Amino acid sequence: MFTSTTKVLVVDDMGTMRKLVKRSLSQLGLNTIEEAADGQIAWTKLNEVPDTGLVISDWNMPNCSGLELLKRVRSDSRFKNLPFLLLTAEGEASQVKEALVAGVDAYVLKPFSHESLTEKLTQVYNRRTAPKP
Amino acid sequence: MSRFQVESANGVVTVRFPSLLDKAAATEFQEQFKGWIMRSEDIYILDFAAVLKIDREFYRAMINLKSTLKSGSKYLFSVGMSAEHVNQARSDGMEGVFQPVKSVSEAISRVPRTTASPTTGSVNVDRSSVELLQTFLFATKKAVEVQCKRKTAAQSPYRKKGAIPGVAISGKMQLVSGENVGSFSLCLSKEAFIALYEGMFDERLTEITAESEDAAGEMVNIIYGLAKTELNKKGYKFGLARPEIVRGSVLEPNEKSNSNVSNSVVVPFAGESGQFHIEVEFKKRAS
Repeated sequence: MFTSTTKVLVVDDMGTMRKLVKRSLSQLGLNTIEEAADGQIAWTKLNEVPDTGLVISDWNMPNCSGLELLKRVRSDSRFKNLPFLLLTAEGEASQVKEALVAGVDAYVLKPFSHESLTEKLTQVYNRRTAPKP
Repeated sequence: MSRFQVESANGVVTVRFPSLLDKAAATEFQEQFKGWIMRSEDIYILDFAAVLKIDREFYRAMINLKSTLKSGSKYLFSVGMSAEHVNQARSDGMEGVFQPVKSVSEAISRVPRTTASPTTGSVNVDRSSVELLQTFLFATKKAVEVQCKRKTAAQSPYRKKGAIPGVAISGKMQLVSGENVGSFSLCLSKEAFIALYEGMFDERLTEITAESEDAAGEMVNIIYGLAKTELNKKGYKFGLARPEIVRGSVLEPNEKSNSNVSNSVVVPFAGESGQFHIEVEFKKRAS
């Protein structure tokens, strides 16, 4: 699993949702957490902390959406392998497909439980650390 | 498949009742008529022709239906009741609820002419409204029970007639799909907000603070997202939207002018969540 030194960036325009995600991460031992209220701020923070090890982002935010952030991240060679999880209420099949095409590692739908977020994080970690064939 | 067969024609809804009206039938029937207040039809005919027995446990469903329809200025009548059932209703003081009549035409003749009009041209909007209300109702229940870990149950809906007291905080989302517009609001008392917040975070809260209030907006986001996903599968075109958070009730323009007319339907919820309600309004855009 991600370690206690993994730097996590939580992106959501709702403070209560960032708090909820931080709470779940904390229960998993992840306490090095940065927050951003939209994709634009998140992009600035990523550039300030390029060794960020995990991004958990909402989709629907002002200024720069989670999908736009994901596309920026994947188009930058420094972040090509950065685990990126979308945590969103946007659940239409076309949106999930668009996010997968853009390179998202996992998609968690709101409402979510601590267990469902943990399960997705474990999947992302295992996929990222699996030996390449 | 439901035991209650519902048909609609020319502004009249006819419901064919099964042979036994007992407690189980009451539960099933109440689930079925939850969205009826959003229908455009004004006359509801209950057909008792096949009914052999009416348990008194079914009365509660009849009273709730009558009350729901009355709040929307709609009319309820019963046809095909045997003399025995009419007498039973009369001796139990339920004749005013059942409103037995001899025929559908007699029912229509008892309704003021301005109400008993065909609904041609508004059927699609009407069907949309029922579908919309039910989808938001299920989405609200799921969002509260998963995100806030609090059981909740929808009560009978009614047409909004003015400001509802006791609302401490509301979250509102504008609804736009093609030619139809409206809004969805989640209206919480202080107690309900605290119950939902505490369920979400497993921590105590005594007052609604500036920091905690966006939880109401997040709940609206989640409910809208769930409903949008389901409704867009059925051909609606709801897009991304953002909630507005208001301390107190979200007032409609006609409430501000003290009018008694509202297009909103209110669905109260109760349970571990505390008491709160949602308001849904959806209509064709004015041209």
